[in-house]
Amino acid sequence: MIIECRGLEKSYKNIKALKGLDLSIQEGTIYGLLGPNGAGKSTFINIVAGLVRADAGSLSVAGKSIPGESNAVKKKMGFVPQDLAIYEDLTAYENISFFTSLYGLSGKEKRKKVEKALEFVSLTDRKKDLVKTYSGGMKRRLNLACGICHEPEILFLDEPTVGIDPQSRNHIMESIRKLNKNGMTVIYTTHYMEEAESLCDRIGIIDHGKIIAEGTLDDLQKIISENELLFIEATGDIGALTGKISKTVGILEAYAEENGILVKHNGQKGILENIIKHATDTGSEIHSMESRRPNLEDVFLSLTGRTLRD
Amino acid sequence: MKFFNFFTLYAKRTVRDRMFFLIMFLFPMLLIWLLGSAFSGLMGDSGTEGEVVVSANLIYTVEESSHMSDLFTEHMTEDNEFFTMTRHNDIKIGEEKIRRNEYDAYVIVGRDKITVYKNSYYNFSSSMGELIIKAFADDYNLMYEIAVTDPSKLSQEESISGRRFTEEISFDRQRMPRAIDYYGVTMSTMFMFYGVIFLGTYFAGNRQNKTEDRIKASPASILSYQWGTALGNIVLIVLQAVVIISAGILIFNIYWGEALGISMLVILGEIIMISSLGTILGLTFKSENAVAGISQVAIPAIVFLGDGYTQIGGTGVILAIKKISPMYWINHGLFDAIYLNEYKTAFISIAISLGVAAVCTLVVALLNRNRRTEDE
Repeated sequence: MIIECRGLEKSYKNIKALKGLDLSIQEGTIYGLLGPNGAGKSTFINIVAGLVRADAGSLSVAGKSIPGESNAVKKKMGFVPQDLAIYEDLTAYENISFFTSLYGLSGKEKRKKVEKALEFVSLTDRKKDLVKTYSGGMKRRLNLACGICHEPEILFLDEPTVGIDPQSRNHIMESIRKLNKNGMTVIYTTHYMEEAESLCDRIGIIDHGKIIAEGTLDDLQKIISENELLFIEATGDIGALTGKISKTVGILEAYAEENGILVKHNGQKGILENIIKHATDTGSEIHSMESRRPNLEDVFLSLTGRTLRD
Repeated sequence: MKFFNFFTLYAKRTVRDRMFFLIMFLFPMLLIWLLGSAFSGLMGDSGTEGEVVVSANLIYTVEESSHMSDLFTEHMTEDNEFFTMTRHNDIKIGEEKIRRNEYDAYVIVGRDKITVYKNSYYNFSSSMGELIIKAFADDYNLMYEIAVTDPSKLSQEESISGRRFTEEISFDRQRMPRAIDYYGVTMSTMFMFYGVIFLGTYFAGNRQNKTEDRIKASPASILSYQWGTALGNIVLIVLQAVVIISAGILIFNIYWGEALGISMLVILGEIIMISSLGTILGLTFKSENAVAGISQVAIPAIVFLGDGYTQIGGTGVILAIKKISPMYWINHGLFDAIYLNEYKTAFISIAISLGVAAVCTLVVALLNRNRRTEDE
């Protein structure tokens, strides 16, 4: 395992950000850490990156313990923070060159790596322009380039696609796949379940500072795939209808969502008839009903009773 | 090596900032010219001639008759080109007269002690008066010691009763600063102080935009980051000082005295202090606006107390408050060195500047240690 942590704890004043986090990440994988805002994703990344210290627990990266051997680990690590940690009054070339030099690279070797990073994020033609003239997507790509310029073995990406256009998001996702193909282990935090589903080999779902489920996408879907999911698109008194449905025989759980109700049931006969009856009783109108394969949002909802964006 | 990367990054980013040139180079020159012109005639200016003879107007009281008071009366009360000495027997009236600024200094001659009360308004005449009395006392002490231990070593001309004490005092130039000379010094030291804002906002900005996190996540040490950046600031402000002082001398003919080396040491001390204060501010406050806001309130107050805008005078508590301001010691250290060849205040100023820098360095070390354990 390239990253192994046991019982990691961290508190900020009265808030417990991590409550005994256990995690193992295999070398060469793209590992997604999925959870809502405040779940503890960034705290975990900040501990690994050496920005904050854990209060308790053990952590090792590439066989070296943190914080004891932090400096040796830092040389092997790339860090792409959630915020745009770049200098807007410098050019893209100057930004990458500066961050590369922090890893002890200089001269021809440094120039080569800077050009490679620029090319990787498709910014070569704008490398001499000041970053303040860039679009949001270009800045995000530069933010990524500054984290990979020294060609690390392990790359930490903390929500790298927040607030950017779909084109730049796709570019970043594609870049991460390429990096992984070249052997880089990628740890990716997000609260966008679509990103985790399409990108990650393994996913850890984190909530309230703990991993609540972990595995491949298939493993996680299996948590609720034994039961069936039904999405009812409806209008009217959704609250009352959800209440009645949840008390129906054969219904395991029911959650009100934006345009309707998500129902988890055991496939028992007569369920649909009962739902229609409840809709009539509450004065609600059902527009459609569809059975669907669970996604990570459903898994999270099923495990925590909340959506990822709550 | 990484230290050098932080040094060049700071220099590059700061030099590209147009505000840096505006505040650090253009504004000082403009204000020196403006204030120097506006206040000409109110200070030591005398039309087209820059040099003015300084003459101290002193009042004295002999509290108790003694060998020393006799010598004082004999040698120090004759009017000469340096000072005029007026006797008054009532100490209370003497004190009142000096409080009302009617004289530059008040001298009370006791049995074996001389006390000098300087005029509360900073002026060169009162400093010169103090120097004259100090020279007399030093000379008297020396002669007295020799006369007691080995009188044969005193020549006829140097006998304790026959010596002309004031001949020992030499002035670099017998002049007072014109307004342009005064503001040439005070505006230079004031605008150097604005280096606090540039360094402070730089550190705070790095924390705010998270580039500091990226630096901390790299193998570069936090000390190379802080020291490299602070050194970048020192070099830039030294450059600023050289440009402003040279331009002041060449364009406005500002007088910086003969002992330029001492003045430069005072200024270097100030620059080191500025850089340490900027580092503390930048590491303490998370936002650039907070650093800029605090500096923009504190710097004018420090400069005001240091007689930077005008000589504000003051006695007792006011004078004690003034002495808290490092600019008081810097400006007065420079003026004493330039116009009186008196370096005591200059050395005090250097010691204060380096002392503040040492305390700041200690605080930074503590902040670094706390951050490692408490994680903000």
